[in-house]
Amino acid sequence: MEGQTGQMTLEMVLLLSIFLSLSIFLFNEIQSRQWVSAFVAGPWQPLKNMIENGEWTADAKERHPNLLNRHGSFSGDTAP
Amino acid sequence: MNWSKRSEIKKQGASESGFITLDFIFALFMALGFATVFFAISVTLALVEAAQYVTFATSRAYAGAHETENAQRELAMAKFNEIMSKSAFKRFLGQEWMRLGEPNIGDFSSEYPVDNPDDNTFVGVQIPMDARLLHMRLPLLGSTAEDSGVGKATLNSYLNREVSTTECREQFNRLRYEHIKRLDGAYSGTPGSEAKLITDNGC
Repeated sequence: MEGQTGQMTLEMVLLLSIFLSLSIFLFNEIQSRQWVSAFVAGPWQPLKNMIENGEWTADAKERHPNLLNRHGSFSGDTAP
Repeated sequence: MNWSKRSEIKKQGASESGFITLDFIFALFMALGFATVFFAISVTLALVEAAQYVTFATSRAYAGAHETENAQRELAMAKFNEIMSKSAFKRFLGQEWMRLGEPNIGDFSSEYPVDNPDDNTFVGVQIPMDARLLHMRLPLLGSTAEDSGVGKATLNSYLNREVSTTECREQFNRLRYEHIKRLDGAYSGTPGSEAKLITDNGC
C-alpha cells in the first residue's frame, strides 16, 4: 500500500477536478438560465392578481368581486 | 482483520475527508440558497397580509361619514399614518423588506369594466407596495429577480364611502326643499312664509 499512495492522491485530485468542473458547470447553468429568478418571478403575476383582485387568472381585473351584480333591495322584483 | 489492515482503511478515510468537506460546502450553498428564497417568499406573503390590513383599515376610516369628503380623506390618512407609526409596522412595512407608498383615496371605477355603477363600486383606497425582499443576489445561484416589476403590486380595499353631511344637506335635503318650493307658489312667496330648509338628523 505504501507504494500506491501516489496513485491514490492522483485519483483524488482527478475526482476533485471532475467534481469541481461539474459544480461550476451546474452553477453557471443555474445562473445563465435564470432558474432561481424564474422560481421567484414566474409565480409573481398570478400572486399579484390574487393580491390585487382576489383571482389567480390573467383577467383578474375583469373578475374583481365588486363587479358581481348583486340584487339590491332598491331594484325590486319585476312584476310577473 | 488485523491491525495493520485497519489502519490502512483508516488512512484512506482520512485522505477522503477533504473531498467530503468540499461536497458538503457545495451542498450547503445550494441548501442555504434555496432556504433563503423560500424564506423571502414566505416573509413577503406574510407582510402582504399585514399590508392588506393597513389598506383595509385606511379604507374603513374613509368609509365612515363626516362633515365633508375632505374630512373623510383626512381621517383615512390619519389612520394610515397612525398604523405606520407603530414600531412593528414601521419596521416591516417601511424599511428594506417591504415598502408601502402613499395611499391613493377616491373613486377608481374608471380602472375597472363597470357595467352597473349602482352595484359595481370601486370607492376606497389603493396603496402601492414594493416587496424588495424578493430582489436578492445569492452566491453561486445568481439573482432572484431580474425584472424590476417583481414584488410590485397595488393593494386595494373598496369599502365605499358613506355620504358626508354636506353632501346629504346639499344634494338631498336642499334638492327636496327646491322641489317642495316648486309645488306651489305659496311656498316661495311672501318672505317669512316660505318653506324653510330643515335638516333633521337624517344626514
